[in-house]
Amino acid sequence: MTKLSEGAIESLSNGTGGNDAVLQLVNIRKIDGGNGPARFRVMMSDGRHTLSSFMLSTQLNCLAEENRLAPNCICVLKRHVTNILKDGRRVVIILEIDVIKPAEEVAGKIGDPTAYTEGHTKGPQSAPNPESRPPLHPQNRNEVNRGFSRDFGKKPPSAIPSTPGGSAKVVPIASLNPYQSKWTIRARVTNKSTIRTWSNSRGDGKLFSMEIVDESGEIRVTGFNQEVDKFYSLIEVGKVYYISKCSLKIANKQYTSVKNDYEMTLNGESSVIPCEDSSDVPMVQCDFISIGDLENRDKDAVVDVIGVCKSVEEVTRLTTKTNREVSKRTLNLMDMSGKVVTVTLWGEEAEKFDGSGQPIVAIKGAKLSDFGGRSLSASFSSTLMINPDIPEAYKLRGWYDKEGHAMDGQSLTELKGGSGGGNTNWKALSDVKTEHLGHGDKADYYTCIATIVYLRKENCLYQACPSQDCNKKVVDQQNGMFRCEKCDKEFPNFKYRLILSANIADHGDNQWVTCFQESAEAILGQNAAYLGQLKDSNETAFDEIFQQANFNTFVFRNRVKLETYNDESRIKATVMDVKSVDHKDYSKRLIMNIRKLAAQ
Amino acid sequence: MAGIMDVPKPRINCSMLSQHINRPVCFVGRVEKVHPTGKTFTVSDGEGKSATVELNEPLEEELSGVVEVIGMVSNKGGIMATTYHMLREDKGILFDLELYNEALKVVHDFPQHYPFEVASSG
Repeated sequence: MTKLSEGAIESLSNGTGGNDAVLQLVNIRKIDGGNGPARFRVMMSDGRHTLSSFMLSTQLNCLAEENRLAPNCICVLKRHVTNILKDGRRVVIILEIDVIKPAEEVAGKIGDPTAYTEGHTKGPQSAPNPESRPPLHPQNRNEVNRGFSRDFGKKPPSAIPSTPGGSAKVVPIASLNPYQSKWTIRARVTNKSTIRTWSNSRGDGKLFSMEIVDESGEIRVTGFNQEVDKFYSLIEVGKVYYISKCSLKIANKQYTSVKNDYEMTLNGESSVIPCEDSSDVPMVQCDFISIGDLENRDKDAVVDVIGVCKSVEEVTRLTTKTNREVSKRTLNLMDMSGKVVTVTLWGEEAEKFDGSGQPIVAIKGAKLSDFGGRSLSASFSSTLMINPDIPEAYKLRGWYDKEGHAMDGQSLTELKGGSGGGNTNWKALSDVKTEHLGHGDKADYYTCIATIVYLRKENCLYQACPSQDCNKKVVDQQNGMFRCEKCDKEFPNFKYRLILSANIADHGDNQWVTCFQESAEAILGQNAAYLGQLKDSNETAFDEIFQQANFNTFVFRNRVKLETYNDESRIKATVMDVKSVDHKDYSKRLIMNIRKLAAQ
Repeated sequence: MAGIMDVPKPRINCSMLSQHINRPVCFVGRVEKVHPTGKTFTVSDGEGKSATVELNEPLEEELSGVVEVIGMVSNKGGIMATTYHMLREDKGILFDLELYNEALKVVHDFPQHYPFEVASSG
């Protein structure tokens, strides 16, 4: 039988409550807050009293959404902040909470608690108390309780860093909200943008943004115009600052990956003061996810990853739709999942990046794309760290040097030309038709498992220019010479190349596809030169090869595109890659699909 | 009894043995221990659980790796083998018992789509 911390409600509601109180959740209710994120209001009991003015901080919303915080469950309140509202009521914001006994294991309400009201208790709070009245200007009344029981007696309160001015106590970032203005945070700058300018009908201006963290969380800060002049040069990435008097508003998640429901704007009153003693402020808050898990994340998700830079490409320059030229560089990251993902860096990051010595690369706020399987893009809001000074990096380095370097690493990103990717666009042939693949502006790519049901051996070979990289069909000059129009040359010889029409079928449909050289060779199991030779010398053996190739099953990666010749449009399917079926892989996928369908 | 080869033999794992007592089954597992008499051996399934296989005649060959056993489930939950077949793993393709077990569960979880047992009542 779990024992509740009797009396904890009373001390929590008069602001003297410590942490680690064992409480029973009586009720939880969702409050839809306009355009902001949903908030959860919680009623807790200590067995003697109940109090309904608990709010779940939004980063804990998942606990409520996953029903882990359900009526009757028993929890330990690990960390909280008590806020005083304008009307004097206190609200206990739950910053960290552990469910020690889930609701289903608890028989029911423990004890017979009554609703706690301040008037029912004696003590300084019971009488009308001018102090608890709302002050004219909201004062900072955050009582931060962290590690109370642990630190009690060990650390005198003076050890809590206070601001240079001493006016307001340092509060955790997680407790910030738009309804309070007197606070100071002590946080490390983890990312600072370049100065960006805008110009539109309403005028022009400039802005910069930065991301700051403390041990409770992170937040994005933006400064405009004068604040850019005032603070931009002062702020250095990696340094710790006391920051106060900024405006808070609901974060626009479209522009940021920072895990905070609010963001702040520097204003004329804001102060940013460097803090010397900063060793206890965390460097960067990353929530690294395994590269292997990227396959399960949604497209456009913003994720933090860390990996060994296995290889890196040269910088390329390209022109965007808006006619801007940008630099781009791709690199391949691998982590302990043994999976590899391609990351694209842009602009300055792309130009500066040095991948020599296979450094550990951590990226905070990379955007997941489903381009070519799964790939990542590091945009201007991402933070790129090379060999960061964090435990994950050392762990990864150790692993890579010991065993990881010998691993091949399975890429989640399909390479050009299409060797296997982790998250391939699997389709049944009927899906390709019903989903109208290839009807868009761009070609579509899909992968299917299909069986060869017919191969058209007529015209499957052509005489091509023998030059290295030219595969142009040559014209037989009928004098022993063959002419290539493209090279504008005549040759005494030619090479045979394949262009094979095949009909492939799966359980639901069939499809005509065109296979060029490599894929045709893979299907026929013979090279083009040998086939050409056979065709000219031994027709029976040549036919035999086509007979043998029938009814073999392969994994096809196809490109489909609607093409129009003489006002007639039809879908043209080209085989990009043919591979033998990995039955284990195929079985796994089938089982997964069956389970998925059954769950619907 | 002569017809064990002609009737449907549901594929099962160890946890399904008790539901198939006195019925013909097909069991695929890894050979664990062969009794010195050569008349019984134990096999483990994809979940790591073991079952005992009893033979009419002592083994005439060394048994190892993955075997497919066809037989009747005894009252004690053992398998009285009618025949067995070793699955060769020497060609570099290992038999993934765990994956096989997952497939087997699919067959049993969705009998409406895998109606193999319909005829077995006869």
